Amino acid sequence: MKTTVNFLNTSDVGIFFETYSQLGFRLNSGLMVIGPCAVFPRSVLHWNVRNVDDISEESLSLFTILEPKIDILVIGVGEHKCLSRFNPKLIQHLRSKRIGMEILPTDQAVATFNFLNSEKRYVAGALIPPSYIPVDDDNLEEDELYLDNTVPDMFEEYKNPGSAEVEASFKKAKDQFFKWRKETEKDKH
Amino acid sequence: MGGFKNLLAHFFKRPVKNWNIENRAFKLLEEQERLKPAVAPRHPTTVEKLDDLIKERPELLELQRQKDESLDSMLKGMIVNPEKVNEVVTKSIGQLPVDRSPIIDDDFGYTEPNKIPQGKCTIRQSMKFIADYHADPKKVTVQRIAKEYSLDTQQLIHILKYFQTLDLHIPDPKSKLGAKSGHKQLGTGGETVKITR
Repeated sequence: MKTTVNFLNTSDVGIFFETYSQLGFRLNSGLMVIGPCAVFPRSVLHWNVRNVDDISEESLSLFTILEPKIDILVIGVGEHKCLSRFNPKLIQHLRSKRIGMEILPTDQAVATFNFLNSEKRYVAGALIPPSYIPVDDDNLEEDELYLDNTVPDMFEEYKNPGSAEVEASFKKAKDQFFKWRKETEKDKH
Repeated sequence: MGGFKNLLAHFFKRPVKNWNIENRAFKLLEEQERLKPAVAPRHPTTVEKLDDLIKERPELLELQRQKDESLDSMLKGMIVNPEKVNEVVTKSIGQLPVDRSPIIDDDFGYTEPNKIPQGKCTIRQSMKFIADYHADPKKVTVQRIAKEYSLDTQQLIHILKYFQTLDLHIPDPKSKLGAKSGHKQLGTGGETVKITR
């Protein structure tokens, strides 16, 4: 049976992002949100968009019907180059609803949201994880841990971790993934 | 060199400087006297009247030059005691706040309104109907939610399409990531996870 949570952070500080990656965001309570998310001062929802092209009046509809009206909406579009793909008509749309907005790359949007939320502003965030992050040792370790432990749970065929065949094929896939990522890193730099 | 300078001053400079000094001083004084600002001329129509007044009552001229002590003492008996200085406002005038106690945050981090206009909803409400809808879309239909919260059906369809409550996956706590992730922290840091289903 599927379990859904209505995540609330009732401590004094509210919700903060500790880290972000291509997979999603880690919150200050230790929960990892996978994929794009809509954040409010103390609650989180999944945001069902693929990338910056899916951000539209429809996909921002929840933010415009909230009462009291949110002070500011922080939109994280992904990596820096996605900014140019953001539909400028949406700025007019949100302005007509009298909602202030910050359209930023996700790394900056995360920091902006944390800052505004710490000031107890009535802020909302609509954040898409960036599809590309320059690799350093820290996030490489994080991804490796994730692949080792969480991803297998999600795949039906990996329900029996005892079988040596599956172990071997997963290890091979993992090695290929890191090899591919290192190569693409080299190309980009 | 200094001695030679003193000698020069003694024999030449000082006699030259002091030459005819008295005459020159008097001349300068006369010049200054001449340049003193003159008293402004009186208006031709009042000249005669003022002259007559001075002739008739010369003591008035003397009186206005003297300080009148009685005027000074007039202010000394005066006490400023406005009654309204420390009046405490207990009743609100119009929309002004009276309560100064710190605001305690609500569950969702903002003060929830008493009145919600048509076509709007709070975060609490939206969380609830999104969770309810995705739990059982056949029972909790879009029309039913729209009616209950008086929202626009079309907008509601978009909201339910693009927003969902979190699905919870818990990694094995014995694994490396499970130990690192927050499931042990939950509850210790004052955070709660409210499981709606």
